Amino acid sequence: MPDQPLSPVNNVEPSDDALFERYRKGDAAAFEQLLARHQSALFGFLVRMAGSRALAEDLFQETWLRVVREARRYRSEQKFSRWLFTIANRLVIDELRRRKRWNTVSVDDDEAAVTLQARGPSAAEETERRRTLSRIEAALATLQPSLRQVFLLREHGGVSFKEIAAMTGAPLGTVLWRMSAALKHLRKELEADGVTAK
Amino acid sequence: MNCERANEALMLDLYGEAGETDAAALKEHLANCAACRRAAEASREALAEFRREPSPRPSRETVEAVLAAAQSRPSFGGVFALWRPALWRAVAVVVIALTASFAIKFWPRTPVPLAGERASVATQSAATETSWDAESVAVSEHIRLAQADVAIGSSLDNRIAGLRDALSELRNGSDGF
Ligand SMILES: [Zn+2]
Repeated sequence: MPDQPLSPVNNVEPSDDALFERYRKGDAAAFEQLLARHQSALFGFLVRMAGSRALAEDLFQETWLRVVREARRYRSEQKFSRWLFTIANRLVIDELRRRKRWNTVSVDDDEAAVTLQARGPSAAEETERRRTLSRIEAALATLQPSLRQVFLLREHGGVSFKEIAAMTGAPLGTVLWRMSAALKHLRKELEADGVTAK
Repeated sequence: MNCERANEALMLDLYGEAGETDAAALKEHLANCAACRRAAEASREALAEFRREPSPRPSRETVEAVLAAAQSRPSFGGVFALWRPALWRAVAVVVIALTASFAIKFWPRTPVPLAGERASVATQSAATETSWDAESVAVSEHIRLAQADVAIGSSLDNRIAGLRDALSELRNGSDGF
């Protein structure tokens, strides 16, 4: 197989797939480039999903380790970023389940979206959370996890709604409703925070 | 388009995922529905507010740990990966060569008669027709194997042709008796 040139022609950035293919052939610099490209979005997704920076650091590391470990099984017809966020999504949900912070109770109205969240953090955790998380992160932390998931997969992961539906096993209509409810909640929280003008 | 569908279309539209038909229907609905217009505005503002805040970044230690792990995985990377196909080709060549050398080495042990011996062999085979049948099957098997290995070298072709002739002559002789 011919190698792609290291410096892209016409200033066109190499695609994720091209970089990953190069890494699979042993080019460590290509991996570094991939990591640099996705680290911010992936870490943002994990921090805001997990509601904890410390946990997000661990999950971030674990996600990339899986990418490295499963590199051979990666099929390029799947977008790399989609694969990356599929792994991260699975890891963070497993962790939230383990900590009993994930529930799949379906919520049908906006009030429930906030009040029906999985067993919330303790008072001490809440204080810690407010201290270490930004207001956006704090606002997201009070959102029902399945709503948060849709919002963050779309916003950080760049995963399309259709793909989120496939990834989460929820119908497209449900995914869109969750997105809308997440946005409403976010706006309400930020308003309460005195940030957004009414 | 009702308000519920308009809300769905709005979410798709925020990310450029609404088709042309949906986008047009949404535009029309928003022009006529104040409630949805307000909701759409609120959604856009919330999104803009969220995007104003920079995404958090992982610590240096975490990033370095990931890079170290990525580099210490030579099982599929490194120079090894580049010459792996060549390695497998080499292994294949060695295996074929060994098979061929074994085949050639053990060939003469099969009782393939030379021209001068044919008559006597034919006499023997007439006496023990069943055992001769078994032997002819063995010779056929060698021909089959030789054909399978024919890619190794054209010199084998001559051997096969010779064996085939010998076999057919032996068969004819055996039948004739
Ligand atoms: Zn409406």
